[in-house]
Amino acid sequence: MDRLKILKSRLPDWLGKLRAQAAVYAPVERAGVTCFARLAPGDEPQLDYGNTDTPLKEVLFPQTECLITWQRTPEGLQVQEVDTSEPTVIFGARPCDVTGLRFLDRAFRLGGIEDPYWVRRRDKTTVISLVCPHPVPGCFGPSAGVNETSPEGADVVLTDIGSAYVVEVKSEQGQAAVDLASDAFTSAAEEDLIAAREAGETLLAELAEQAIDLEEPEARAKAFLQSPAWEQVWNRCLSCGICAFLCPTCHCFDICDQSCRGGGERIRCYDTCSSKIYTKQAGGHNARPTAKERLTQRVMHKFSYGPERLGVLGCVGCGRCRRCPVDIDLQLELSRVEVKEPV
Amino acid sequence: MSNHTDAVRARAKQLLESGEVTRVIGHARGTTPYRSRPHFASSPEQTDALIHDVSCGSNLAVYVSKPKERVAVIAKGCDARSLATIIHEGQAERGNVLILGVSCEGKLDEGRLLRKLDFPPRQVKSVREEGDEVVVEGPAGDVRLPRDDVIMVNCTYCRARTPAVSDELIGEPVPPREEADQYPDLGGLDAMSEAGRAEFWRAQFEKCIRCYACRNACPSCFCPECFVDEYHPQWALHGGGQFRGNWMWNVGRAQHLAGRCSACGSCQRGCPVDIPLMLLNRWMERATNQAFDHLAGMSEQQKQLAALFRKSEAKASEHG
Repeated sequence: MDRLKILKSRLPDWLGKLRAQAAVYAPVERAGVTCFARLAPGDEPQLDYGNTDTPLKEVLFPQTECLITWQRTPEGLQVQEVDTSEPTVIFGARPCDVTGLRFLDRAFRLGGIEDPYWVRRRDKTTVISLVCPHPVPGCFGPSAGVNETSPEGADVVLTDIGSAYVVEVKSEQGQAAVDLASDAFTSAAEEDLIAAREAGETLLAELAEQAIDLEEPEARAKAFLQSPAWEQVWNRCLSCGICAFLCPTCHCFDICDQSCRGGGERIRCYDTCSSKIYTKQAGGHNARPTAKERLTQRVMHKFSYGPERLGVLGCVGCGRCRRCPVDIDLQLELSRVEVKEPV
Repeated sequence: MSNHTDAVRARAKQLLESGEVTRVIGHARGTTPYRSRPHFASSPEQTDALIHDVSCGSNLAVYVSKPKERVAVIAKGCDARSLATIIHEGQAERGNVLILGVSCEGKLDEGRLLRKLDFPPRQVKSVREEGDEVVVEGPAGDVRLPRDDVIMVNCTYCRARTPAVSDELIGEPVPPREEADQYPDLGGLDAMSEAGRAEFWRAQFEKCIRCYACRNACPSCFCPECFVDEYHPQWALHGGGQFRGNWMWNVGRAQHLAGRCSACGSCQRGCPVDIPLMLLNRWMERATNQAFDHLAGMSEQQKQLAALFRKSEAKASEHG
């Protein structure tokens, strides 16, 4: 397809057209934290961000979502299914977060069994990705297999070339999004394409300085769990949910019924394998009683079960899990481990 | 100056060699020069990794949970306050905890520090203290920053820079900060109307993702089953990103810590969405301090706030 470009000054026109057709989610700041939130009329997306503090997944897999509600009435119990899915455009997502959707797409359709809540949102969503203008501190996307200049799963990719974005349309859905405001786009000139390519090359060269070795992830995961470093790591884990909740690929959830005054709702919300109560069973038995067993699960799911079952790594190199309060950096630990040849 | 690395290593090694303790809980260098991480030394060799400098902020008392054998904890004033509190509350035998006190003039706030630098974090080569300054070695040489600008805000009103409770002290005693009893950090909240404060906290709590890092990093949050995890009855709605449950969780957490918080700031340091939890904790501390003349963990003899009753408490009603 022909490459296009859009002047930054024309971006509001495009966003306006998109918003007339769909709910547009873009990076915004809320009380000091950047996240993807629905743009209201007049809201400006914050596009000069490094990476959002909370991951993109929450647009399609909300932290908490209502599945059904019920109410006791004189006529009986009224049960209502809740479906808030609607045509949605994700605008300005970083390539790592977009690549995270690939993992979730596979996980939520594993073995042909679809998660209806994910699928109904995902199928109505167009993803417009924005290449990072500068490397985000701590990012190691390329080491985790992320295509930083044209991520898999994006419908449109924008590359900043100063006063404009070069636009790559990657799918029919993406074409439809561009066609909504066709007069805002022009054909990209040769020099624009060169500028975009150079921006990408500069980014990749700078990211190379932050690269870590995650080749042979399964062997690394197993070797790490046998290494002297491992004991210190699980001993200090606090069993909180930061790494899982901020991770673009973690997708465990809990479902519970919450009732009040004759009515109620069934919600599902994030859950995490690092939580003490995650594997607590009726009767009190806990299959993973300490952080050692819980963190083993995390390491193996990210780097062994994920690649084995879904064909992709459970990490996209965004570095958000480095918010760990006790400095657990599993990727770095794995990159440093000595992988022995199989006997 | 609060680089006590050499002294901490030497004493830890002695304690393990002599068998006085089975484990020393301290800090080691983290993934960057401005980060530390909790470190557990069970053999003399493992003490080589111990450090104690301006980056060693996290409260190590959180790792003391009913030890069966004697352990040593490298304890800043706030860690020592927490230890005194949890020992009093039955979470450890006093004889099983050797409190190796270290004097402290404040520990780094990573966010505050990095915002002061005009180069990427990975270019930080080292961080050290000199006088009242924190010196960051960057790509173009040293950057000198006033210590108070880059340490945790709660450290700037610390009342336990020298541990009030300890078995030994490493480093010279440091007097408490005068601001501690004046609560200058609460000025912003005080200036707001009640509705304004409610709005402020609504915006903050809406961000909460319910990861419970605040709880799990806190030595005083040791309940085997936290109220927020209970289903029957269910005290708070589950799941992050919704205000009602988040409000219940955050207010419930703060209230359970009234009179028990050591002001270490581990909850706020852990929070991935930057909720200023120490404002809430300090708000509770001021209320309990002024009404009951009580501060957690400032002596071994002191009773827990909820177990106290004095005739003078009649004045409590004046504080609502």
